Amino acid sequence: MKKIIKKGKIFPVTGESFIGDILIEGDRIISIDENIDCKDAEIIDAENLFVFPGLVESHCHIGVHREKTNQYSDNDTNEFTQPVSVDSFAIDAIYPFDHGFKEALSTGVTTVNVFPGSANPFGGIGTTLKTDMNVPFEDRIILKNSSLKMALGENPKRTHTKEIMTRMGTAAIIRRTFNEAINYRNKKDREYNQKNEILLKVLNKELPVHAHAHTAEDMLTIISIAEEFDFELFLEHATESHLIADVMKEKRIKLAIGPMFTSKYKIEVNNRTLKTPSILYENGIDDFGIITDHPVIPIMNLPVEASMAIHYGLDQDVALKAITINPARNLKISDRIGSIDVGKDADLIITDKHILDPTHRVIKTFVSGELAYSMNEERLFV
Amino acid sequence: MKLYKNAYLFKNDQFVKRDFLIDEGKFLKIGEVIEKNDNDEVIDLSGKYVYPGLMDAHTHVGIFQEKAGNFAGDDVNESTSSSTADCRAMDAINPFDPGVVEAKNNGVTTVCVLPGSGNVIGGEGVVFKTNVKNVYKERVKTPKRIIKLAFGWSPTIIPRMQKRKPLTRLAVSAILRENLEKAKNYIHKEEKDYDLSLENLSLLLKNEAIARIHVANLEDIETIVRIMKEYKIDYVLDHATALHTNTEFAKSLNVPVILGPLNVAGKAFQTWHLSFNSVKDLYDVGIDVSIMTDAPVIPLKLIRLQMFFIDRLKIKRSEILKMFTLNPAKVLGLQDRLGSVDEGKDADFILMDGDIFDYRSKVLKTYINGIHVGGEEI
Amino acid sequence: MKYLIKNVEIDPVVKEKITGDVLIDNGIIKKIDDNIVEKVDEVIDGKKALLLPGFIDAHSHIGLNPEGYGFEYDDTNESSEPNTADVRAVDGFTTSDKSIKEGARGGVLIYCVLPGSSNPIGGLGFIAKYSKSNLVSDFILRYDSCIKMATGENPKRCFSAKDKSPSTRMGIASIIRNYLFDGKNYIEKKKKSQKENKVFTEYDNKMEIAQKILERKLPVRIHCHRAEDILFAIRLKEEFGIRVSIEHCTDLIKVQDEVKKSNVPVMLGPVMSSRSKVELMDMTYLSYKTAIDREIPFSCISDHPVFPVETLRLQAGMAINYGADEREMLKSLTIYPARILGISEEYGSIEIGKKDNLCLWNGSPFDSRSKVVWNNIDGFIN
Repeated sequence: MKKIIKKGKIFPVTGESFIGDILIEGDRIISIDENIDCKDAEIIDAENLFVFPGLVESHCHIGVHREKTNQYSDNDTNEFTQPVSVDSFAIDAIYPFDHGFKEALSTGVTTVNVFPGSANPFGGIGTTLKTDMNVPFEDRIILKNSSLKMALGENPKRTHTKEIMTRMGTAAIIRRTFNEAINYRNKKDREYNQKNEILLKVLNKELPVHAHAHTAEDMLTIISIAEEFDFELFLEHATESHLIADVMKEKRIKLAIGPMFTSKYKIEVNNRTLKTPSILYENGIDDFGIITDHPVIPIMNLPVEASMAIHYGLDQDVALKAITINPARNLKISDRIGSIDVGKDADLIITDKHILDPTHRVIKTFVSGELAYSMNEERLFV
Repeated sequence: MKLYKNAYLFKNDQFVKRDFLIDEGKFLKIGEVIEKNDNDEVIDLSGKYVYPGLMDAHTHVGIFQEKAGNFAGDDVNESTSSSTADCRAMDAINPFDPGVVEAKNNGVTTVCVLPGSGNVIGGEGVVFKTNVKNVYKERVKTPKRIIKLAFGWSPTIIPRMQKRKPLTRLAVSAILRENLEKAKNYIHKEEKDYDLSLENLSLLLKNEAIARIHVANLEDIETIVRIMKEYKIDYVLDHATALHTNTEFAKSLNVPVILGPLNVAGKAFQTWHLSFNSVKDLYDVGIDVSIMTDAPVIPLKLIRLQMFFIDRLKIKRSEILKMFTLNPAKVLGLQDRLGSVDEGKDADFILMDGDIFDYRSKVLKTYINGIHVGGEEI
Repeated sequence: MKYLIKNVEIDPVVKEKITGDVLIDNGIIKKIDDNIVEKVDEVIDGKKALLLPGFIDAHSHIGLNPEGYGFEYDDTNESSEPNTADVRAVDGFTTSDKSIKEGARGGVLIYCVLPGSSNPIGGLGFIAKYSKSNLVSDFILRYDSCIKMATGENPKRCFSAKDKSPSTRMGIASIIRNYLFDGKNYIEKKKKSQKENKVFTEYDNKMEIAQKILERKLPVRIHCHRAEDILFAIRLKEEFGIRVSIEHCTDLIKVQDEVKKSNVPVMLGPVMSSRSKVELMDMTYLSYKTAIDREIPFSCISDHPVFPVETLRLQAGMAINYGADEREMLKSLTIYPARILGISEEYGSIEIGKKDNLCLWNGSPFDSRSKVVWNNIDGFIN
C-alpha cells in the first residue's frame, strides 16, 4: 500500500524546508519531490500544514514506569536491590501498551529509548523501540540492547546507603566491576557469566555506555573512567555541561540534555538552566540531544523544551536537530530514523504550525508508514 | 507620577495602543492618549507589550525551597498529625527562595502559598507579592482567610507509612467531620480555653475563611462537596483532576476550580483523568477556571508553559490569560485590586517584547506596585 | 419514561410465575398482565425470557478497593483504631471499580456496602443501586443504612499485631459494650443540657451514631463466624434492645435454636471460598437449608471481593445442590435481603407499585450457562 502526503511544508531536518510531496511504500519513504503523481496511492492532504520527521526521545522510562495504575507496586524502573545490575534488561519490563506510548504518539514522538532508572551505578540495558501500539511488540523494537545505562551522583548514593557513602564509592564500584570483567576475560577456564559478557561487549566497544550525570565532577569522573577502560561514552542529563563546555568540545562527548523543566529539587541540579543548550552551542557544540526523561516531565514537553532552549538563545535548526536526528545518532539509528530522507523509515508527523511553536497541534502521526495517531479521532491530549 | 506611553495592551483579543498613568502604585488612568502634566515622568513603551502581572493561587514556593536539597528546604507538610489547623505557611516562607525570585523575574507578581496535601487539615495559606521581604508585614490580606484541606488518597499516604489514622479515605472524611464538630462545640462553649486550631476551623464555620480543597477523584469531590454543604462552608476545588468527567455535575457545583499542574506525568490511579482537556471541558460549561503550577512541581518561572498547551485547545486567548491573572485573583477575593490592567488596580504588570503566547517573547521587566522589580534580562 | 416489557415469563418471586407483559411508568411498575396494550415510549420484546427482580447483595465491599490496583487503594478497613463508628463506606466508594459492571452481568443490581471487619466497630454502611453514572450520588439508595461491627479472629488479628486492645474475644465484647454504655451516658447528657435550655457543646459524631443505634434507628450488622460470637451478638441485642443482624453466621447449625429464638436475621455466606482461618472450620452450604427449615430470616451474600459478586447466583445454586429449596434460594437473593435491609416496599419482587429493578434471563440464574440479556439500566447486553 502506497501513501502520498501532499503539498505539506516539509522539514527534512537534514536539508532546507520546501513545499512538496512524500511518497511512502510499506514502512519506507521511497520518494520526496515537489510534485509526485502515483495513481494507486492513498492521498493524505497536508496543504497549509507542516511535515516533520517523527521525534526521537533517547532517554525515558515509558513502559517500565507504568502509568494510570498503582505507582508503588506497578513500577519496574529500578532494580533497587543491587548496585551492579548490568544484566537487568529494560525490554523484560516494558508494558507494551503503557499510556506513555500513547502520549508520545500524540506528541509526534515515534521512537523512544527506554532505560532502566538511575538508582544503580550499573542500571542495566536499554531498549529502543517505536511507539505504535498496534504493531506486535517484537516488530516495534529497533535495538533490543541499545546501551548500558550507568549512573553517578546523588541517586545511587541515596539508594545504596550500605554499599555507597560517597561519590568516591560509586567510582570505586564502577572500576571494580570493569576490572572483574577484565579478569574474567583473562581467565582460561571460565564459566559463562552474563554480567561479565555484557561488560566485555562494552570494553570491545560493541555496546556503548550512557551515563546519568548531573554535576561537573560526575561527568569528569565518568569521562576519565571511560578513557581508562576505553569504552564509548554518552552523557545523560549533563545538567552542568555548560560549565565545562570546553571539556565537552575537546573530548567530543555526545550529550543528552534534560529534563530542563523541573525545579532545583536536589542539590545536584542546583545549576539547572534552560540556557545550557545555547551555551553549548556558543561553544561550538551542536550535536546534543534533548530529553524529557518521561515521566520525570511528560513526553509532550519534548518539542517544548527545544522551543524554550530557543527562547534562551539556541539556534532554531539546532533545536530541531536536538529532538530528531541528534538523538537518533546518539542511539546509532540515524540510518533509519531522525530525518525525512528517501530510504528512511516513514515516521512522519503532520502539524498545523511549526513543531517548535509550542502552541502547535499534532494532527497526524505516522509510524513505519501507518497512521498511529489522528487528532480528529482521538482527543488532542490523550 | 509616571506616564507610560504607546504600550500595546491586550483587550478583547486584540492589541490596542494605550497610555497609562501610575500614581502611588496604582493605575490612575488608562486611555488612548493621556496628556503629560508638568511633573509626570514619561516612559515611551513603543513596540512593547503590557500584560497584568501573572498570578498563581496554588503554590508552595518559599516553603518548598529550591536549591536546598530534598530535605532541608522542604517545609510543606507538617505530617505529625492529620489535623494541623494551627500551622501557617507564613511561618515557613523564605522570601529569598530562588523559586520566588525566578517567579518574579518571569512575570509572576502574586502567589498564594498553601501547606501541602499530606494532612486532612493542612493549615493556613498566605498571599504575597513576589518582591516581598517580610511576608508577615507585607503580605496581601485577603477578605477571607485561607484554610487548606486535603481529600482522597493523598492525606493517607504518609499515615499509611506511619501506621496511623487515616489509613483510608473513609477516615479522611471522619477526621474532617470530627474536627468541624469540635469547632462547632468550641464556638458555642461559654467558657473555653483558647485553642488556635479550633479558632481557625471556626473561621470556616463562620464563613470568615474559605476552604481550599486538594482533591482529585470525582468520588472524593462528591464527598467533600457533601460535607461542605452540610457545614455551609465556602470552598474552592484545587486540582479537581477528574471533575471534567462529569461536566453536568461540575456545572451544578457553581464553584471556582483551580486546575493543575497539568504538565506532569507519572499518572497514578487517582490521577487517571489528568489532562489539559479538562480546561476546555470545564471552561465550556461556564466554570471559572484558574491554572496552578503547584510550584515547585512546575517551577513558576515556567508558568507560561501551561498557557502554550492550553492555547492548543483553541480557547479565546484573552480567556486563557484570565486563568493566569483575573481568575486566581477572584479565587482569593482580590479581583478589585489585582488581576488586570485597569484603573484603580495595583500597578502590577509585565513588559514584554512580544505576544505572551509567543514562546520567543521575553518578560523584559516586571513591575509590582508600579516599581520595576525584575525581569528576564537582569 | 413509560416502557413496556412484552412477552416474558414473569417470576414475581412472591407469587407464582405468569407469562405476559409488564408496564413501567416513571420507574414504577404499573401493570402486570397477560397482554397489555398501551402507548409507550419503548417496547422491549422479551422473547419468552425469564424476568426476575435484580438481585440484592446484602453484604459487600464492592467499590472500596477498586480491583486490580493493589492494597494502596484499599479503603475497606480503617484499622488504625478499634472504634471507627464515624467512618462511612460511602466515602471510599469508587464507581470505576470493574466489578460493579460484572455484578450487573451476574444479575446483582443492589448492594449494601459495608466497611470491613478489622475493627470491633467498623463504621457506617450504605445501600447502592447499580448505575452507569460515574457519580456516587447516582448509586446511593440509602445513605447511612446500618453500622458494621465485627467479632472473632479479624479484629483480634488486626489489633494484637499492634499490641493493642482487643486481643481476645473478651476485649472485643468490652469495646462494643463500653461504646454503647458511653452512648447511653451521652443521651443523658444531651437531655440534661436540653432541660437546662443550653446549647449542647459536647457534640460527638461517634456518640451520635451510638444514640441512633440505641434508639433502634440504625441496625447493627455484626460479623460473626463462630458459635460464641453468634451468641454474643444475640446477647448484645437483648442487653441493649438494639437491632442486630448476624453476618456470615458460619456456625449457624450448631446454635440454630438460639438464633431461631432470638429472631435475628442471618446473612449467610460466602461459602464459595476456602476455609482460610480457624473460625471457618465448619463452614458448609448446609447452613442455607437449616435457615430455610427453621424459618430463620436469611439472605445469601457474596462479601465481595472475598468472593466475586458476579457469581453470587452460583453460590445460591450450590446451596440448592446441598438440599436447599430453589424458590427459597431465589428469595434469599431478592425479597429476603430487601426485607432485612428495609427496602422491600420498593425492591425485591415484581409487584405493582414497586420500582423497576429488573433483569431478563435466558435461563435459570442458578445455571452457569444462563445470562442476563437485558436489565433496566443498561438495556440489552451483548
